[in-house]
Amino acid sequence: MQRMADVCIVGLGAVGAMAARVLTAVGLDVVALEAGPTRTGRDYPMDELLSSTGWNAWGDRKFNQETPRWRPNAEHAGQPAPLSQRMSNGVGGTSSAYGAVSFRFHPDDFRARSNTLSRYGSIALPAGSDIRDWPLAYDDLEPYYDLAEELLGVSGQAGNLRGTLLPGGNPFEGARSRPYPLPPLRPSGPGDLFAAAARESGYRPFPIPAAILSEPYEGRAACTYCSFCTRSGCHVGAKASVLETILPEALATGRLTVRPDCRALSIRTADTGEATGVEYLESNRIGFQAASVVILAAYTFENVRLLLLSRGSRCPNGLGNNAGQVGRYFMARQHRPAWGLVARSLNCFTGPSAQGQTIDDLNADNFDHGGLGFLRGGRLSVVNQFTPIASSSIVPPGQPRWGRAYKQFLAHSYNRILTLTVSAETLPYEANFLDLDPDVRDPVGMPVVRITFDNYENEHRTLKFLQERAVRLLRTMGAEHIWRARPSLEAVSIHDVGGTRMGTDPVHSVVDSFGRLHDSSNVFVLGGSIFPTQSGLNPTLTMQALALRSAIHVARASYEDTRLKLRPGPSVTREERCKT
Amino acid sequence: MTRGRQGPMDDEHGMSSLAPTPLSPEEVEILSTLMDGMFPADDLGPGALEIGVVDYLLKAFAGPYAHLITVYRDSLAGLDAAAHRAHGRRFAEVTIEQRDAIIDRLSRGELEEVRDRKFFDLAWQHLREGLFGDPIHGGNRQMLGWRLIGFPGAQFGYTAEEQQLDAVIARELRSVADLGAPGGVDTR
Repeated sequence: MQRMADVCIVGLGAVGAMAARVLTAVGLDVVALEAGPTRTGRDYPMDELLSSTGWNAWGDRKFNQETPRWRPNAEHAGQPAPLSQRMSNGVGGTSSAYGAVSFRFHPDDFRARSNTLSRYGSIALPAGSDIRDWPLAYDDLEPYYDLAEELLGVSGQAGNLRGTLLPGGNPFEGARSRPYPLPPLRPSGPGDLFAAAARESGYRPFPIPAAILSEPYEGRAACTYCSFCTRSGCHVGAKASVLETILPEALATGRLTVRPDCRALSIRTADTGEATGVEYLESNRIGFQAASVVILAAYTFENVRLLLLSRGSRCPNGLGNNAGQVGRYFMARQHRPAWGLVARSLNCFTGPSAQGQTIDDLNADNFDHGGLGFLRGGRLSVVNQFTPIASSSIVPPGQPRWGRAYKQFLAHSYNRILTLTVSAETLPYEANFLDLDPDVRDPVGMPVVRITFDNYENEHRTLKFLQERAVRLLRTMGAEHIWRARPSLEAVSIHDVGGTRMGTDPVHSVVDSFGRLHDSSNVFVLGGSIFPTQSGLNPTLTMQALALRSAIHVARASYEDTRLKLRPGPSVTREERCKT
Repeated sequence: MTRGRQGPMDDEHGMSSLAPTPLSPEEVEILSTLMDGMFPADDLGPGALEIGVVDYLLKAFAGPYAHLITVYRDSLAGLDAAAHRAHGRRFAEVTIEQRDAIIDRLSRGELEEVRDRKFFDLAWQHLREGLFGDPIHGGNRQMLGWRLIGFPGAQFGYTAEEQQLDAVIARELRSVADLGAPGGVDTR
């Protein structure tokens, strides 16, 4: 048994490290259990194969041996989940190898239900969906977005500074109290081509905000525009992996104990329902870390799995699950691009994937959905990192995938394929959920997660609408031959959210706006699993802002708790005083 | 989905299994014939064999793809059976036209003798990995795959000029091995 910690954090990635940074800064003792190994950002070489779908060298045991199963609906048997995007496990988590696109969610994303009802009426809510407002508003999170952007060093062009719209930024962003800490990443040829076509089409393009340094910042070097970014580490530390940004400071306090290769097995609870600590596996030995507060900060799948595996006298169906809500309303992202062949050399194999231009005009409720037959939307963009193993799978319909014809196609067209990325929002549905697989277990005998997920009519219509606009933009950009990705089942998308959604009502949600379980007052859940809706924007910055807000809340509560204990009173007898 | 998308240790039972025996010389011959057909040498340049796709795969079978040997073994035997049935010869001995007809049916998932209907997708993924992965993994010999499509490899970064449309990127190709430190470039 380890010494009692003030806080035990499970998972030391993008959000766990944020919490550790805050809690150690106020003097709390934090122990972080991390299932993966210790790694530094620069341990990832510029090697596409290592980060490829087949190898997924950074997934290690955690992801590769505990891969979830998937089925489209409850009538089907489970099968291995389709995994086009992988994640990494280790100290730093996937933040070491993420694409670092860093959006704030729209104010509208926090009120999707209310705004839908007031603008389109209840008839617009798709059957089987359960869209809910978030239990906090954009304005509540703004100070934490601001802090997160400062800690990470986000590069971008402000679009709305304290209510004033600024040219060149995103006109749909919520009011920000300060501009981005750094100017946007450098423009590129394909980005400029997209921006010109978008403007011609009446859209308002802007540079993608990225947690990648456009200039030196806080002792870190600027981006060199290599093309090994998403799914790789940064060789100069320009990407805001927590290993390069907040973890060093947290470690420097001397109050953060990192325990790598320690896989959490369950959260133990007392008969009061409160957590006493976390049981974990280190090599073949089971250990226990006692803590006053437990913070679950793993990826969506593991947050849900650990809660369901943590059974106790007060939580026979899993911790936080007394209302049967754990695992419900899971959402995976559809990333289904359109492509076109252009007569120019694009050189999209230079630069990171977050370097590019995008439009937000077709996202959220930023446009009138009247008569369209679907809610919400998505984002279109042109990005870089067109590395050859992945990119050589992009072949137009009718083009042979092998033989001389394929070789000829690659030799002539590899540098002429323009990708218009389409990232669409998926709604929360009753029928889409996570639970424990009844049949398949991981190597230590624990059930893996079973994903029950399918896309429904709203998602099909959203994608069709967005892809049609992408095709028009490609034409405006001069593409000759245009084709689009078919809708996919992407049950695992790297933007996997929901499952422990937050809300004010304990019957329909698992945690409150601070991520605290309704059922257990000293257990917090951080990460995308607490999102009630997905947003059409990338989730990491919002996860991190929420984590800062939660951790500051825990720190304040701890302060109040300490203050109470310091009150003069008869709790210590004279005799006891004499002993010390 | 293909089995290549599962984790290295994650077979149907979620259990690791003992490493299977490597492919026999006959099986390597079938694999070579398949990869040669999928990416032949021609006037554009060398094909899969010269670029080292089979070498890459054999090396991967001894590492991260050990769990895929059985799938390959079954499917390669299926290719041989298909060649025998249609032409009375081993797959490695049929004519180029006959080979391509068999690969064509394989690519459509219509080759009865190959039970895994997604085997072509798996082989195609591995072909691309062997052509375009970093040479340190055994394929992409002399960066021939990268040369064919104009990818400069593991570059430290690019200039603003190089990121413009139609910019000619005239750089010496680089492998991770050329960059020195195990992490590619260590600037610390």
